[in-house]
Formats: sequence, C-alpha cells, structure tokens
Amino acid sequence: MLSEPAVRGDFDALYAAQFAPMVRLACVTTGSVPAAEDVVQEVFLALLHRPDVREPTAWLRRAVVSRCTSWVRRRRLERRHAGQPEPEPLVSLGPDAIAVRAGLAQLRPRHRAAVFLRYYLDLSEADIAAALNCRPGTVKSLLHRAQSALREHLDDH
Amino acid sequence: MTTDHRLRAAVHELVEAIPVPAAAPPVTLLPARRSWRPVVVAAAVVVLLLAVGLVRLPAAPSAPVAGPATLPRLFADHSYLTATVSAAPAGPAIAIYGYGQGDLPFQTPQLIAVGMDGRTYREIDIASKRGRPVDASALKSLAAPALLSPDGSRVAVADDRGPAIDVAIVDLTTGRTRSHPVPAGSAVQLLAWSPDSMRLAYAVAPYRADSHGDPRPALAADGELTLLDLATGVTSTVAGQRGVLDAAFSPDGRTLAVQVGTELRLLDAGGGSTVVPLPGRHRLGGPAAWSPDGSRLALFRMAAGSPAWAAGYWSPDGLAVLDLPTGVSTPLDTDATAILGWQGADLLATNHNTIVSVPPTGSARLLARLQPGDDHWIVTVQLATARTSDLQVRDTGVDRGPWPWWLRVLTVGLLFLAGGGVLVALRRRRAH
Repeated sequence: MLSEPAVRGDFDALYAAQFAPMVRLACVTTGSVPAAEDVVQEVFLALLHRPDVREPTAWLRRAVVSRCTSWVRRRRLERRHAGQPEPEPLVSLGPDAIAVRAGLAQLRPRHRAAVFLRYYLDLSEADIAAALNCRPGTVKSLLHRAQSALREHLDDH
Repeated sequence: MTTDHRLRAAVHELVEAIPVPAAAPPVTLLPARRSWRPVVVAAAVVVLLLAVGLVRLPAAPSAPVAGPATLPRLFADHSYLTATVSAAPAGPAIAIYGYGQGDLPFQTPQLIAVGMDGRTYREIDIASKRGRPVDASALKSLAAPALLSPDGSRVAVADDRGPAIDVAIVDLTTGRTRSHPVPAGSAVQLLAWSPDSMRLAYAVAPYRADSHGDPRPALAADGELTLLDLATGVTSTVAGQRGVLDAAFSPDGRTLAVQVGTELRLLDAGGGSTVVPLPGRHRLGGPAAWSPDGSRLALFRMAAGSPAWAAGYWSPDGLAVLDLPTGVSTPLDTDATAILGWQGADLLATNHNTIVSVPPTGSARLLARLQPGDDHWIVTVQLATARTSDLQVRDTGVDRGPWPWWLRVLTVGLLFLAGGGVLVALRRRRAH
C-alpha cells in the first residue's frame, strides 16, 4: 500500500528541511558520517511508517539520538574486540574547532548530542530534554559536564 | 570573545564542515500499519474475564444432592485455595475432616466439608479460626471441635482455645452461622446429634485453666448433659447426669446412650436410666456408635495395661461391637480407632489416614484414603451418618470453589499491573 499523496508531500518537505540537520546531529553524536547517513535514513524510513507522529521534528531528533547512542555502544564493542583505532575525519578546521572536536571525542554520545542541540540548533532545555528523552535537570547536568570538558580543550589552545 | 562565544563558533564551524551528501527521500511500500489496539483490547477482555471469573459473587446455595451420596476414593489434599463455607456455601456434606497445625506459622488448622457429590470441598472457616491458638502461640493446635449432623446439613462447632461462650451451628446450605450461648467461662464438649439433625447433645462445665485446652477433666468432674433444640433454640439440662464424656442417640431418637466414667447408661425420654454392663477397658464409641437397627453399639477398646479408671479418657486402641440383647461384646479386626457410622451390618471407621468398612467378622475393607501430607496431619474425620446406608465410593475430581478473597484481590492486582506494564512497554516502543 502506497502512502497517501498529501502525507507523502509533507514527508518530502520534512525530509528536505531536516535531512542535513539530522545527519549533522548524528555525525556529531557518532563521529562518523557514513553511520550518520545510515542512521538518519533509517529514522526517516521509520517515520514513514508512523503517520500518527504529531511533532515529526522532535520525534526525529529523539529517534536519531537514541539510534546513535546504540550505534556508538555497538561500535565500541566491535572496536574493543577488533582492536581498530578511531578513524580521524579528513577535514580542515580552525584551532578552536579542532579543540572542540577533540573534546567531543572524549564525551559520551548524549553529551555530544546535547552540545549540538544547544550550540548549533540553539534549542531550549525543554526541547533538548525532549530530544534526549530525559528531564530538563538532566540536560543541565549534561551541558555543564560537556561545557567544562570543551572549555578545557579550548583553553589549552 | 568569551569562551562561550568561542565554543559556539567552534561548534558551528565543526558542524558546518560535516559533508552532508544529497540523498533522495526514501521510497517504500508502506505495509499495513501494525496496530496494537486489537492486542490491547484482547488482553483487556482476558483480564476482565479473569477478574469476573475470580471475583464472582458467592455461588447460590446448592440444593441437596438427590440420590445416593458419594464418598471420594481419595480425599483432596491440604490446600489454601479452598473456598470457605461462609463465602461460597455448597450444600450438605457427606464428610468433614480437619487438619492440625503444621510446623510453620502459616500452616494453620483447617476443617473441610466434602459435598454429597464427593467432589465439592469447602473450608468451615469458623472452625479453622477457632482452632488457632490465641493465648499459647507456641502450642500446636487442632481445628476447633466440630460435629457433623446426620443429614450433613449442619456442623456444630465448639471452642477449646479457652473459656467458651457459645456453640456455633453452621448451616452448610446457606453458609450462615448461628451462635447458641453457653454459660460464660464454660468448657464444652459436643456429644451427639439426634437422628433428625434437630437436637444437639453437648456437655458443659466450668472451664479449668489447668486443663491445657482439654475439656475432659472439667467435664468428667462437673459436666452437665445439655440438649439444644434447633427448632426453638431452647436448651435444657438433663438432671442427674454429670460427668458425661460420650453420647449416642438411638436410631429412633428416643434413647440416649451416655458414657459417664466407666459406666454406660441408656437414658430414655421418660427420664429413666438403665446401666449397660461393659467389658473392662471399653467405652461408648462416640456419636455414631448406635447401629441403624438399634441392636448394637460400637465401642472403643483401650490398650491392655491402661488403668480401668482411664477408660473414659485414653485414646482408643481398637474397636468392638456390643450386642445389646445378649450383652456380648466382639472385638473387630481393624486398626481403625474412630467410628464414622454404619452401612448395614458393617461398621464404618477410620484411623485418620483411611476409611474402612468393618464387617462383624472378618477383615476390614478399604473404602477411601485421606492425604495428610508431609506438613499436616488429620485429626478429625466424620461422616453424615444418615447418608451412609447407600453410600457410593468413587473416583471424583476436586472442586474447591472460588479462590479466597485475598488471592482474588492479589491476582487481579497482579493482572492489572502486568497489563499496565505491557501498555507502558508498548508506548515506549512506539516512542522510539
């Protein structure tokens, strides 16, 4: 059964608007562009089967963070058994961005997602809490921990 | 530039540098959406049916079973899931049997009624409750003393936890209990029902605190023979009969055989009394002792070597039958020590593990077994003596009735919790 045209049209518009932000969110959280693309495609595909979702953007963020967290956990286990080093992305960045990238690499996926949602998307604590499926108080804690770590790296440069 | 601004700018620079490939929206054939609603509705219906089934109202009192009564070949074992007579009465009983308290605190005494169909079991809750010790928690206790009426429709329940205040009559058909007061601070022993199940003979005496729950010492000294007429609720004392320890009505209900010390007396309705000679170390065999034709009395035999004065106290070692016209007493070939009734010329008796039919001569024949189990022992077995003449013994199922209220509440609560858990799990699954 094909989706109805109206629903399909809304979905395409949502995809056009949110695909890039979601890939970036996933990439910041996982540290891997290919993994980010896969995760975001899977999430959009899942959304296509969920016409009852009322706030698709918030749902996408929550689903992306959830799947990225699972992906990172699984990847760590694979690396631990395979003994492979973490690949370094091949992009040229300024010293602050390099410091932030190094800082993010030492944080947990949910901390990274919180940083992205706060400093890139400028979301409120309530929206971040919705995306991370946690309480606003937890968001404060996550951001405080992440900011401290990232500032240390910035100060070192 | 503050650190926060540097951080924000650096995050933007880092994120903008992420290469995002152009990707077409996914196209898929949408499968029919799986809806959990039918599952949830089905689960709710199941929970509702279970709840209704478990929390159903007490069953309507059942009519007496027509035709011959049935005795189960194997009595049901001990269970905490047997419905009570007060909550779910099931009609007249062919038998009652009682468990003593086990070794653990929750293994409390129970008195169970077996319906005329041989498969319906109910706990006589007032007897179970009165069996629990209130002033000596360390002592093991028995279910309260009880006596099943000949027609199986009523059970008289006494109370030997301390000074008694009444004799309770439980109607097994309606589940109601009527209290018949005795003088405050009494020791009571239930003696015998009249054949029409309308009169109850019991002995009553001032309670003695040093008797450790055994009313016999007080009754042997001061016990007054008392008759309760259920039709009027009036009690009357039989004059001149103190120290009665056992009694049995004759089949026509006009004569009462009573054991007073070592003496067996026959009391007639006119107030006359006849002493029946007994062999040494024998005594009247309890409420079911009198044979249906009125010519014989079943007797308890005491162990050889037991003192003659203790014939009214000691636990019997065997059984005998006294032929009233000739006065000849014949020992029976059985290890049973309690008399349940008669089936023609055969005596029905029990050793609390089995029920046997004992012919006048020859060996006992096994009729039914009881199941004491590892943790309990059976202390009481009685039959509805007016229904034993054409008694059938069959393999039967076990119907314990609706579960006790606490188990129903617990089960329904757990079912709702489980249902709530499933719903929460489903909602979380949908959120991801």
